[in-house]
Amino acid sequence: MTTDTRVATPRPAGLRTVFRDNGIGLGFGAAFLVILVLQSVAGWRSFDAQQAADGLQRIGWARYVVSADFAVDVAENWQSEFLQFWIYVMATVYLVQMGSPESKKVDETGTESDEEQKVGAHARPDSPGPAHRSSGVLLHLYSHSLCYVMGALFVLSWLAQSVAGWSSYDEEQLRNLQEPVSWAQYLLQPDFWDRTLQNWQSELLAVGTMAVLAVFLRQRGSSQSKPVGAPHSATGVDG
Amino acid sequence: MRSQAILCAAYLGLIVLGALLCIVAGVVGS
Repeated sequence: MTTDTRVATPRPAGLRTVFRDNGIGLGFGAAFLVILVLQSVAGWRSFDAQQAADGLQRIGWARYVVSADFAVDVAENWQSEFLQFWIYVMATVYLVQMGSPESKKVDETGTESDEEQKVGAHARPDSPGPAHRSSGVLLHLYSHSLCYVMGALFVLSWLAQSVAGWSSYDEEQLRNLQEPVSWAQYLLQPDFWDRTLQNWQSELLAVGTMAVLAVFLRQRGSSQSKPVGAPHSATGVDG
Repeated sequence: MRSQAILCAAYLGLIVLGALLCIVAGVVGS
Protein backbone atom coordinates (compact mmCIF):
# COMPACT_ATOMS: atom_id res chain seq x y z
CA MET A 1 0.00 0.00 0.00
CA THR A 2 1.22 3.49 -0.78
CA THR A 3 2.40 5.32 2.32
CA ASP A 4 3.05 8.72 0.77
CA THR A 5 -0.11 10.64 1.64
CA ARG A 6 1.32 14.15 1.57
CA VAL A 7 -1.08 16.78 0.31
CA ALA A 8 0.39 19.61 -1.77
CA THR A 9 0.36 22.77 0.32
CA PRO A 10 -1.38 25.69 -1.39
CA ARG A 11 0.84 28.68 -2.16
CA PRO A 12 -0.11 32.28 -2.72
CA ALA A 13 -0.53 32.60 -6.49
CA GLY A 14 1.34 35.77 -7.45
CA LEU A 15 1.58 36.58 -11.16
CA ARG A 16 5.23 35.55 -11.24
CA THR A 17 4.32 32.23 -9.61
CA VAL A 18 1.52 31.65 -12.13
CA PHE A 19 3.94 32.22 -15.05
CA ARG A 20 6.63 30.00 -13.53
CA ASP A 21 4.22 27.18 -12.66
CA ASN A 22 2.65 27.19 -16.14
CA GLY A 23 5.71 27.75 -18.31
CA ILE A 24 4.98 24.91 -20.73
CA GLY A 25 1.28 25.65 -21.22
CA LEU A 26 1.69 29.42 -21.51
CA GLY A 27 4.94 29.33 -23.50
CA PHE A 28 3.77 26.81 -26.07
CA GLY A 29 0.31 28.43 -26.28
CA ALA A 30 1.80 31.87 -26.98
CA ALA A 31 4.27 30.46 -29.53
CA PHE A 32 1.38 28.59 -31.20
CA LEU A 33 -0.60 31.81 -31.67
CA VAL A 34 2.40 33.70 -33.09
CA ILE A 35 3.24 30.91 -35.53
CA LEU A 36 -0.41 30.50 -36.57
CA VAL A 37 -0.41 34.19 -37.58
CA LEU A 38 2.90 33.76 -39.45
CA GLN A 39 1.43 30.69 -41.20
CA SER A 40 -1.61 32.73 -42.25
CA VAL A 41 0.63 35.46 -43.73
CA ALA A 42 2.82 32.97 -45.62
CA GLY A 43 -0.25 31.02 -46.80
CA TRP A 44 -1.96 34.20 -47.94
CA ARG A 45 1.11 35.41 -49.87
CA SER A 46 1.39 32.01 -51.58
CA PHE A 47 -2.35 31.80 -52.35
CA ASP A 48 -2.50 35.38 -53.61
CA ALA A 49 0.54 34.86 -55.85
CA GLN A 50 -1.18 31.84 -57.39
CA GLN A 51 -4.37 33.86 -57.93
CA ALA A 52 -2.33 36.55 -59.71
CA ALA A 53 -0.52 33.97 -61.85
CA ASP A 54 -3.85 32.43 -62.85
CA GLY A 55 -5.30 35.85 -63.68
CA LEU A 56 -7.94 35.45 -60.94
CA GLN A 57 -9.25 37.90 -58.33
CA ARG A 58 -6.68 38.87 -55.67
CA ILE A 59 -7.75 38.49 -52.05
CA GLY A 60 -6.70 40.24 -48.84
CA TRP A 61 -5.31 38.60 -45.68
CA ALA A 62 -8.60 38.99 -43.79
CA ARG A 63 -10.44 37.10 -46.54
CA TYR A 64 -7.76 34.39 -46.66
CA VAL A 65 -7.87 33.57 -42.90
CA VAL A 66 -11.57 32.68 -43.15
CA SER A 67 -11.10 30.67 -46.36
CA ALA A 68 -11.33 26.91 -46.69
CA ASP A 69 -7.76 26.87 -48.05
CA PHE A 70 -6.33 28.20 -44.78
CA ALA A 71 -8.74 26.07 -42.71
CA VAL A 72 -7.68 22.80 -44.36
CA ASP A 73 -3.99 23.60 -43.95
CA VAL A 74 -4.54 24.20 -40.23
CA ALA A 75 -6.89 21.27 -39.59
CA GLU A 76 -4.82 18.64 -41.42
CA ASN A 77 -1.90 19.32 -39.09
CA TRP A 78 -4.06 19.46 -35.97
CA GLN A 79 -5.71 16.09 -36.60
CA SER A 80 -2.38 14.33 -37.01
CA GLU A 81 -1.01 15.79 -33.77
CA PHE A 82 -4.04 14.66 -31.80
CA LEU A 83 -3.94 11.26 -33.49
CA GLN A 84 -0.28 10.94 -32.50
CA PHE A 85 -0.97 11.58 -28.82
CA TRP A 86 -4.17 9.49 -28.86
CA ILE A 87 -2.33 6.48 -30.28
CA TYR A 88 0.65 7.07 -28.03
CA VAL A 89 -1.49 7.20 -24.88
CA MET A 90 -3.28 3.97 -25.87
CA ALA A 91 -0.28 2.07 -27.25
CA THR A 92 1.96 2.75 -24.25
CA VAL A 93 -0.49 0.85 -22.02
CA TYR A 94 0.55 -2.37 -23.77
CA LEU A 95 3.76 -1.61 -25.70
CA VAL A 96 7.07 -0.93 -23.98
CA GLN A 97 10.52 0.09 -25.21
CA MET A 98 13.40 -1.25 -23.17
CA GLY A 99 15.69 1.60 -22.07
CA SER A 100 13.33 4.44 -23.04
CA PRO A 101 12.21 7.18 -20.63
CA GLU A 102 9.03 7.34 -22.74
CA SER A 103 8.11 3.79 -21.74
CA LYS A 104 6.89 2.01 -18.64
CA LYS A 105 9.10 -0.71 -17.20
CA VAL A 106 9.01 -3.81 -19.40
CA ASP A 107 7.14 -5.95 -16.83
CA GLU A 108 4.40 -3.36 -16.24
CA THR A 109 2.39 -3.81 -19.45
CA GLY A 110 -1.40 -3.60 -19.24
CA THR A 111 -3.77 -1.41 -17.25
CA GLU A 112 -2.10 -2.37 -13.92
CA SER A 113 -3.68 -3.15 -10.52
CA ASP A 114 -5.88 -0.81 -8.48
CA GLU A 115 -3.03 -0.55 -5.99
CA GLU A 116 -0.56 0.59 -8.65
CA GLN A 117 -3.14 3.01 -10.05
CA LYS A 118 -4.15 4.33 -6.59
CA VAL A 119 -7.83 3.51 -7.18
CA GLY A 120 -10.68 2.59 -4.78
CA ALA A 121 -9.32 1.53 -1.37
CA HIS A 122 -5.81 2.50 -2.55
CA ALA A 123 -6.74 6.11 -3.37
CA ARG A 124 -4.86 8.86 -1.51
CA PRO A 125 -6.68 11.64 0.34
CA ASP A 126 -5.72 14.04 -2.46
CA SER A 127 -6.62 11.67 -5.32
CA PRO A 128 -9.23 13.01 -7.81
CA GLY A 129 -12.86 12.27 -6.79
CA PRO A 130 -13.60 9.42 -9.24
CA ALA A 131 -10.44 7.55 -8.15
CA HIS A 132 -12.02 6.95 -4.73
CA ARG A 133 -14.69 4.76 -6.36
CA SER A 134 -13.93 1.06 -6.70
CA SER A 135 -16.06 0.54 -9.84
CA GLY A 136 -18.76 2.15 -11.98
CA VAL A 137 -19.14 4.31 -15.07
CA LEU A 138 -17.61 7.43 -13.52
CA LEU A 139 -14.41 5.59 -12.57
CA HIS A 140 -14.25 4.01 -16.04
CA LEU A 141 -14.70 7.37 -17.78
CA TYR A 142 -12.10 9.08 -15.61
CA SER A 143 -9.67 6.16 -15.95
CA HIS A 144 -9.69 6.63 -19.75
CA SER A 145 -10.46 10.37 -19.92
CA LEU A 146 -7.16 11.39 -21.55
CA CYS A 147 -7.69 8.81 -24.27
CA TYR A 148 -11.35 9.77 -24.83
CA VAL A 149 -10.64 13.49 -25.05
CA MET A 150 -7.59 13.10 -27.35
CA GLY A 151 -9.65 10.74 -29.53
CA ALA A 152 -12.53 13.23 -29.67
CA LEU A 153 -10.17 16.09 -30.60
CA PHE A 154 -8.67 13.92 -33.36
CA VAL A 155 -12.10 13.02 -34.79
CA LEU A 156 -13.30 16.65 -34.62
CA SER A 157 -10.20 18.06 -36.32
CA TRP A 158 -10.14 15.29 -38.96
CA LEU A 159 -13.79 16.09 -39.68
CA ALA A 160 -12.81 19.77 -39.95
CA GLN A 161 -10.02 18.85 -42.38
CA SER A 162 -12.46 16.84 -44.50
CA VAL A 163 -15.05 19.63 -44.72
CA ALA A 164 -12.53 22.44 -45.37
CA GLY A 165 -10.55 20.21 -47.74
CA TRP A 166 -13.73 19.37 -49.65
CA SER A 167 -14.57 23.04 -50.11
CA SER A 168 -11.02 23.88 -51.19
CA TYR A 169 -10.96 20.90 -53.57
CA ASP A 170 -14.27 21.85 -55.20
CA GLU A 171 -13.05 25.42 -55.67
CA GLU A 172 -10.01 24.02 -57.48
CA GLN A 173 -12.24 21.72 -59.56
CA LEU A 174 -14.42 24.63 -60.67
CA ARG A 175 -11.35 26.72 -61.46
CA ASN A 176 -10.17 23.90 -63.74
CA LEU A 177 -13.68 23.55 -65.27
CA GLN A 178 -14.08 20.14 -63.65
CA GLU A 179 -17.13 18.68 -61.89
CA PRO A 180 -17.32 19.45 -58.15
CA VAL A 181 -17.74 16.44 -55.82
CA SER A 182 -19.89 15.81 -52.75
CA TRP A 183 -18.34 15.61 -49.24
CA ALA A 184 -18.74 11.82 -49.25
CA GLN A 185 -17.05 11.60 -52.66
CA TYR A 186 -14.22 13.83 -51.43
CA LEU A 187 -13.45 11.30 -48.67
CA LEU A 188 -12.47 8.87 -51.46
CA GLN A 189 -10.33 11.39 -53.36
CA PRO A 190 -6.53 11.07 -53.37
CA ASP A 191 -6.32 14.74 -52.23
CA PHE A 192 -7.99 13.90 -48.88
CA TRP A 193 -5.78 10.89 -48.24
CA ASP A 194 -2.62 12.63 -49.45
CA ARG A 195 -3.19 15.44 -46.94
CA THR A 196 -4.05 12.92 -44.21
CA LEU A 197 -1.34 10.31 -44.68
CA GLN A 198 1.55 12.74 -45.24
CA ASN A 199 0.90 14.04 -41.73
CA TRP A 200 0.34 10.64 -40.11
CA GLN A 201 3.61 9.17 -41.38
CA SER A 202 5.68 12.06 -40.05
CA GLU A 203 4.07 11.92 -36.60
CA LEU A 204 4.68 8.19 -36.26
CA LEU A 205 8.30 8.56 -37.38
CA ALA A 206 8.92 11.34 -34.85
CA VAL A 207 7.38 9.39 -31.95
CA GLY A 208 9.27 6.20 -32.77
CA THR A 209 12.51 8.14 -33.21
CA MET A 210 12.13 9.85 -29.84
CA ALA A 211 11.37 6.58 -28.03
CA VAL A 212 14.38 4.82 -29.54
CA LEU A 213 16.97 7.64 -29.51
CA ALA A 214 16.21 8.48 -25.87
CA VAL A 215 17.51 5.00 -24.93
CA PHE A 216 21.08 6.12 -25.73
CA LEU A 217 20.98 9.94 -25.95
CA ARG A 218 20.43 12.42 -23.10
CA GLN A 219 19.42 16.03 -22.50
CA ARG A 220 20.59 17.05 -19.07
CA GLY A 221 17.68 18.46 -17.05
CA SER A 222 14.89 17.53 -19.48
CA SER A 223 11.81 15.66 -18.23
CA GLN A 224 11.87 13.85 -21.58
CA SER A 225 15.32 12.39 -20.97
CA LYS A 226 16.85 9.97 -18.55
CA PRO A 227 19.48 11.45 -16.21
CA VAL A 228 22.84 11.73 -18.00
CA GLY A 229 24.33 8.99 -15.84
CA ALA A 230 21.38 6.60 -16.07
CA PRO A 231 22.33 3.29 -17.72
CA HIS A 232 21.05 2.61 -21.26
CA SER A 233 19.02 -0.32 -19.89
CA ALA A 234 17.07 1.87 -17.40
CA THR A 235 13.47 2.04 -18.60
CA GLY A 236 10.80 4.53 -17.51
CA VAL A 237 13.22 6.77 -15.60
CA ASP A 238 12.71 10.53 -15.80
CA GLY A 239 15.50 13.09 -15.58
CA MET B 1 -4.44 24.09 -9.27
CA ARG B 2 -6.75 26.95 -10.33
CA SER B 3 -4.45 28.43 -12.98
CA GLN B 4 -3.83 24.93 -14.39
CA ALA B 5 -7.60 24.35 -14.66
CA ILE B 6 -8.04 27.69 -16.47
CA LEU B 7 -5.19 26.83 -18.86
CA CYS B 8 -6.67 23.39 -19.53
CA ALA B 9 -10.10 24.90 -20.31
CA ALA B 10 -8.47 27.57 -22.53
CA TYR B 11 -6.62 24.94 -24.58
CA LEU B 12 -9.72 22.78 -25.00
CA GLY B 13 -11.85 25.81 -25.87
CA LEU B 14 -9.29 27.04 -28.40
CA ILE B 15 -9.05 23.67 -30.13
CA VAL B 16 -12.80 23.02 -30.29
CA LEU B 17 -13.51 26.60 -31.45
CA GLY B 18 -10.72 26.40 -34.03
CA ALA B 19 -11.97 23.11 -35.43
CA LEU B 20 -15.56 24.38 -35.58
CA LEU B 21 -14.40 27.53 -37.40
CA CYS B 22 -12.58 25.33 -39.94
CA ILE B 23 -15.86 23.42 -40.49
CA VAL B 24 -17.78 26.70 -40.90
CA ALA B 25 -15.16 27.98 -43.37
CA GLY B 26 -15.58 24.76 -45.36
CA VAL B 27 -19.38 24.80 -45.31
CA VAL B 28 -19.63 28.50 -46.20
CA GLY B 29 -17.03 28.12 -48.95
CA SER B 30 -18.69 25.07 -50.53
